[in-house]
Amino acid sequence: MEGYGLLNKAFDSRVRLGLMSILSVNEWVSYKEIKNLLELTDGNLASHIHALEKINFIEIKKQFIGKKPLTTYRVTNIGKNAFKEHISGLEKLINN
Amino acid sequence: MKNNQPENDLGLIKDLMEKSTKFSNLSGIAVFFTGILAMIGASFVYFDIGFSVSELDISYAQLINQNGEPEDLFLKLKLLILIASLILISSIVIMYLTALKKSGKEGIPLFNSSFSRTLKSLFIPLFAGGIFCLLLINNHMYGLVAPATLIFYGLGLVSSSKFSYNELEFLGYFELLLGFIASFYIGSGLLFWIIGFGICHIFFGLLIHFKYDKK
Repeated sequence: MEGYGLLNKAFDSRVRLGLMSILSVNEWVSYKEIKNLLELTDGNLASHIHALEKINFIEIKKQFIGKKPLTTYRVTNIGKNAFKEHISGLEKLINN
Repeated sequence: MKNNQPENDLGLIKDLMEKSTKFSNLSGIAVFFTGILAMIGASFVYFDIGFSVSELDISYAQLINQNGEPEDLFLKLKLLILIASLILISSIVIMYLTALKKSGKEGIPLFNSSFSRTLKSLFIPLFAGGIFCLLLINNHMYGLVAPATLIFYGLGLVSSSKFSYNELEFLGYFELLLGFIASFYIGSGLLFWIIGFGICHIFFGLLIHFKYDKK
């Protein structure tokens, strides 16, 4: 099963998989938006974001809109390539 | 690892990619109210409610057949355009304000790429249709205006459905069909307009409300 070799351990969790799916087809996405799309509670998402940031798969931008802080996220090139490889791995597993 | 895991994962990826790139801030209730508004406005014009009592006694059918004094016909035409513009502007304002509110609630900025793509794909056919309708009016072909608005609106809905609710596509096809049928019944175009912009929006608004908003 050659597909397994392409799978990335970072995407074992469905939350991280979902997070990458959203970020890979959008530019900067806000925390609240991700939370709503994944239907998650607060603490749950933060740890997954932190894990992906640590391995440089996503980058974080903190800014202020008026007086409100706004945190947005974007996928890096490293993350994009890893995610693509993971998807092709999944596809190979299905086709085998 | 279960055997169906890769399929589940790919399904999740596809769902989220689609969900996160589609414009879904349309408020069902707002669409419902624009339908009501369109029905009231068009009924006023078609059934001459409020105008029959005035000295200006021109019916919609008379206008279409241009059966009357040119000045009276022109006055009636101006009234019709005024009412139609009022409906259009207030509908857009209602939709915009409710979409803004809904996006604030969900933490999704309204002006993202899916919103601008939806607007662009909707308004390019609508602008072309609007100009075409003005040219029809300019050439005194009033009877084709109502069918033309339905047809161009239908085209706009079909093209914008790719970036927003899938259901918009079916609504678009239905508006197209209505527009073509209305082209055969010139003089009753406004009745089809009441169906297409009034009744259809009422049903579509309720569908969106109960299928998506109430979750």
